[in-house]
Amino acid sequence: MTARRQQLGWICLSFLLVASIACRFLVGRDAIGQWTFAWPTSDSIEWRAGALISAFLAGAALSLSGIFLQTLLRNPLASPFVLGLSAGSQACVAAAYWIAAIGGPWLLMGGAIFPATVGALLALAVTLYFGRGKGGGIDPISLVLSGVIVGTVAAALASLIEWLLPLEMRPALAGWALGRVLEVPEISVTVITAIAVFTATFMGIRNGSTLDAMGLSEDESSSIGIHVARVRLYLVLGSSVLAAVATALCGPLAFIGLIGPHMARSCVGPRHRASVLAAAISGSTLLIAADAVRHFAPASTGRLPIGVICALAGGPFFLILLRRGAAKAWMR
Amino acid sequence: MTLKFEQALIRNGNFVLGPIDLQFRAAAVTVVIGPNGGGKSTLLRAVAGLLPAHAGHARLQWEQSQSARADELSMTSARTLAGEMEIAKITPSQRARLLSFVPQRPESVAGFSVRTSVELGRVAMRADAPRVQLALERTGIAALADELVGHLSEGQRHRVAFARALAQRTAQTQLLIVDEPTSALDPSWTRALAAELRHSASEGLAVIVATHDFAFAGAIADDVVALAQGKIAAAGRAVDILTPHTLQPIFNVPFRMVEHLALNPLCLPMWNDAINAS
Repeated sequence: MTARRQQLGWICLSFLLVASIACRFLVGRDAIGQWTFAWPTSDSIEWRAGALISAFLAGAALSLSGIFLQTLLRNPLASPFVLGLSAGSQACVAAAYWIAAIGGPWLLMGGAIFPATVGALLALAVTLYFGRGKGGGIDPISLVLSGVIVGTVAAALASLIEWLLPLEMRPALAGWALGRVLEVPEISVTVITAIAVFTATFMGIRNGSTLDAMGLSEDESSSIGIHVARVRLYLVLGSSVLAAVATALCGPLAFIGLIGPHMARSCVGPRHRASVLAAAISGSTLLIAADAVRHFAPASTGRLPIGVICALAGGPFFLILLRRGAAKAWMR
Repeated sequence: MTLKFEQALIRNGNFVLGPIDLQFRAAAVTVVIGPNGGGKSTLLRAVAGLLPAHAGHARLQWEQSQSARADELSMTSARTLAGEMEIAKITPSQRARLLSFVPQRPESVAGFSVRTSVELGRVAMRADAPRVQLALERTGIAALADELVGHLSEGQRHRVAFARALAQRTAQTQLLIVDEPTSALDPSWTRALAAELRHSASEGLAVIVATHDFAFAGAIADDVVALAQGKIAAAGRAVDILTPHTLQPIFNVPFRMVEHLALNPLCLPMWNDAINAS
């Protein structure tokens, strides 16, 4: 990656971010349901800004979570959705709703963030446990398989709990479970997400070389002076919290956390000093763009859940990565 | 500086090495030989502090310098200067300054350039571009500096890992540990590596190398440690250990001394008798 190519990458990323923001800001629907492309009215300007903020933060959080997981596991297929973190969060949030429904709403005082974090950590722990090879090392494909199964089971658990909820509480949870970008995001969740995103970006850039060195084998990274166990712990905690806040804000969204890091690396190269910030920008761009695309879709009743667009666009990307043998190409 | 193993028992998964007593000399090349599964890699990882001694000790000891002797009457300073440290308890950043380790199968992110991959050797220290450049030149990969690691052959990747170890060197570096370096290397780079290892020893480092290549071992070894089934089968000066008499029972293969007018004699395995017989 030459310096010139990297500059071009930064220009490209900034352009895409601005374009997606402009697109989301200008696209809307008029009273009869036709999509329009115009400056928003004074009513909708606040809604669109609110949606932009939540998509920006959730996208960045997912993509940062993805790049940290890929660094931790040295596996380019890793991402919060593929490894089951998003579904883990979803299941625990559903469980929290259920407990609140039985024991009274005061139990849900901390919002969805705390159960979401617990769920993400639990899911990652289970995925790592079953994704380990026999020799103690982590086999990239078994890890992904284990993550997919953990994700499926957790999502099924979430649906089961949803079924147990009283009828009037179901729609809110069901809409969230399909993925949504709220026009009026909850203030506390938004602020916590913002703090998590900025802290993670700052720490990632600051410790860029350390993260680069995690790409070597464990023996090599410890002998060049990396405290491997400590860095791994930070990466596990960081990626789980980021996946959890994004899920608490926008529901379990597929593949943003997978595509964002790849987009970042292809624009600015694999060194973390550059790619962490680029991943945050890419993730934001992708989610804002997906949210904009949603408004173009012909919808007779209500609007298309954003999770559908993410899965439709992201699934093929994962298959292409798999086909290219990306999982094996990482380590050399 | 000496590195001392005292009744050290080292566990690596289900494999147990030891208890062993060993001493590695500074300014000398110690070659570790032995059949597959004998414990070579386990010993090297223990030397690098990557595996702790389960029982016994694996310690680095410093001889007291002149200034320390002058202070001998003062108890406190004598204590702090009694340089002795359990090697697995050294912090990672201290370890990076004290030793470099080149594993048998180096791994790096395929998307990194060769230069980036070598620069990682200084991740815990001040960046040092001239030293990185020197490391690239001494390993013969300066021309490949901007290539991606993923495009290199196995032998070239091994050179990248060795260059990283050279880039990591500081004035405090005491140990250079290299695990089976010659398996993927062509003869000309094997020769250059042998010279590089001797050079490191002449600079005062304790160089510890595991290998199956007896020509390589014979060319560079001052001391030899032979490991078999997790125990020391033989240890001592190279001239005493690298003999048919010692090696035949360890490897269960006939060995013969190969004389050369200008060079030291080599003790080489003569396995081709089995092919001729069949």
